[in-house]
Amino acid sequence: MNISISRVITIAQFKFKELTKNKTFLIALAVIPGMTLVMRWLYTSMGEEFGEEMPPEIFGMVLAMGVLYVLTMLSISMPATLLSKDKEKHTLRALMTSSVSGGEYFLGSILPLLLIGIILNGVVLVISGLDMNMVNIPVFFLLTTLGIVTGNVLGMTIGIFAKDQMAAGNMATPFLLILMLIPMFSMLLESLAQISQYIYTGIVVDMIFNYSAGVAFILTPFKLGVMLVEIAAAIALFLFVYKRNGFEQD
Amino acid sequence: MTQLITLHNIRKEFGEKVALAELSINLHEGEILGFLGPSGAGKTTTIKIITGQLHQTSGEAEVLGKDSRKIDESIYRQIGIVTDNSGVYDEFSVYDNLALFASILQVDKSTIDGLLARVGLSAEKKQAAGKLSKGQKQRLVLVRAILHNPRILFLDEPTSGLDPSTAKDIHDLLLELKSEGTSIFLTTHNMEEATRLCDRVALLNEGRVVEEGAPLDICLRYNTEKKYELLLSDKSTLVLSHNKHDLQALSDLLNSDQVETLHSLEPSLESVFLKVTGRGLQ
Ligand SMILES: Nc1ncnc2c1ncn2[C@@H]1O[C@H](COP(=O)(O)OP(=O)(O)O)[C@@H](O)[C@H]1O
Ligand SMILES: [Mg+2]
Repeated sequence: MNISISRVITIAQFKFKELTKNKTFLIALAVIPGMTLVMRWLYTSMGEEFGEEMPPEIFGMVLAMGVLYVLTMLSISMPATLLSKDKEKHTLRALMTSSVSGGEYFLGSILPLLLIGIILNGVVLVISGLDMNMVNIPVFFLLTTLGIVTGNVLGMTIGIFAKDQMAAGNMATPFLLILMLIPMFSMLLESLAQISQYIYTGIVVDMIFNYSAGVAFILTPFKLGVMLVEIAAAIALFLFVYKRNGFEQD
Repeated sequence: MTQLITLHNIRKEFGEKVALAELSINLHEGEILGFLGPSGAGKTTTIKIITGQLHQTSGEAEVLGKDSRKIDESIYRQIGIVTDNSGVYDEFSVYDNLALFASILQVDKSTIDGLLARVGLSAEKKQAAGKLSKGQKQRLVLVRAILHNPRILFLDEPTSGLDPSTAKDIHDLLLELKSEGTSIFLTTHNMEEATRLCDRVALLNEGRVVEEGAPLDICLRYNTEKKYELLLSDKSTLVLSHNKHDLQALSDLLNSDQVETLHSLEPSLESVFLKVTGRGLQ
């Protein structure tokens, strides 16, 4: 497959503009930092009410929520939405019959989302209220970025199966719920914690909880392995589905 | 004469359904070839096979010297396609839609303005594409297909559903493109369009070419019994055949100045089609 860097950049720039005209995206862009700020403020003022400082674990939860939103709502839903929209509006055909290759379209679609996801994770980290000194910044960005890429590839795969935006939303929902709720409630339920350690979002959340508890997070080969295996599995699944009939479902 | 497209015994089945039976046709450089047939005849399927969007069940298809099953994206730098549901980005302006494809096709963006003027869309340049009328959108899609000055232009029912004056504008543009050297493969179920535009037409019925040639040649081929229709001074009409008796009558009527109008009744593409297939074009 031919990939021209200049065509990838052209498509990435266009997709970025397309995102800025997309309501779902704009809402996510406002809600993710917005919610993080509201929760931080809520917990801070709750602490003031009781006249004591809130433990950092609370702000770890705030950060985990924000990052989970980035990894799911933004990173999985948006590529699925963009791809299915291109099919619904017949613009994918137009691109593909204007010499755009599948690889160029794929990269051009996920690059802007990858970039926005990384920036948003940084924003959420800064505004969550968690003391940044407790966080190993490079490891934080390494794992969250791997998570974004996994989500993007998963989202593109969902997009192949969805014939329109409505279907993409419906198909993405179960993935969002599983990948978000299991890690979130893993601190409450031991059984969920057992499952969560095998899920890439679970490992990201585990990292954040460790930092906020002041425990050194060690990126064990097992944890890194889970992240890498899942990103590889997502790519393999995408390629398998893509090989059948490109971005079309049948 | 260079052949840009060669189809040989193309067959396409969709499950049980045979969409194309054994289709053979060529497109020569510099001509407008019309694929004329009713809905469901297999026109769109043929375009999709030639342009590599669909693979035939059997038979050989070559476009610009390449097997259509093996073409990659690079072929699309030499061909332009307008299909019946070519999509545009509704939320982007006319110009931004074209600028995207100009970048993709590595065409200088300065060509956009000239093409917009040519199809009468200059005033809509900054308008969102979703707000265009059907005819305006069709012209936008056409500009997108010719941005890169393709060697072959594919048009799938380019004027279907458009008002006559917009259709005429598009016809004029297509004739201009032809005179500039673009070869055009168009499908239509409108026989006037085919007669007006095409150097050659292929009449397609149920996945087979049933007649092929220049529109006039085809019509004359079926003009077995020459007839003339007259409108007389008293507003009555009269049909005369090409025999001694009728020709004498015609001569008398003309001499006595009783003839208002006189037409030869050679068959139209529509009536040829009806004769060959037993069904109409619409
Ligand atoms: N994807 C498809 N699956 C099944 N049948 C199809 C498909 N595409 C076209 N057909 C059938 O093939 C025949 C030719 O279709 P088409 O090429 O679209 O005709 P036209 O463009 O001349 O109206 C029709 O009977 C149509 O129903
Ligand atoms: Mg059709």
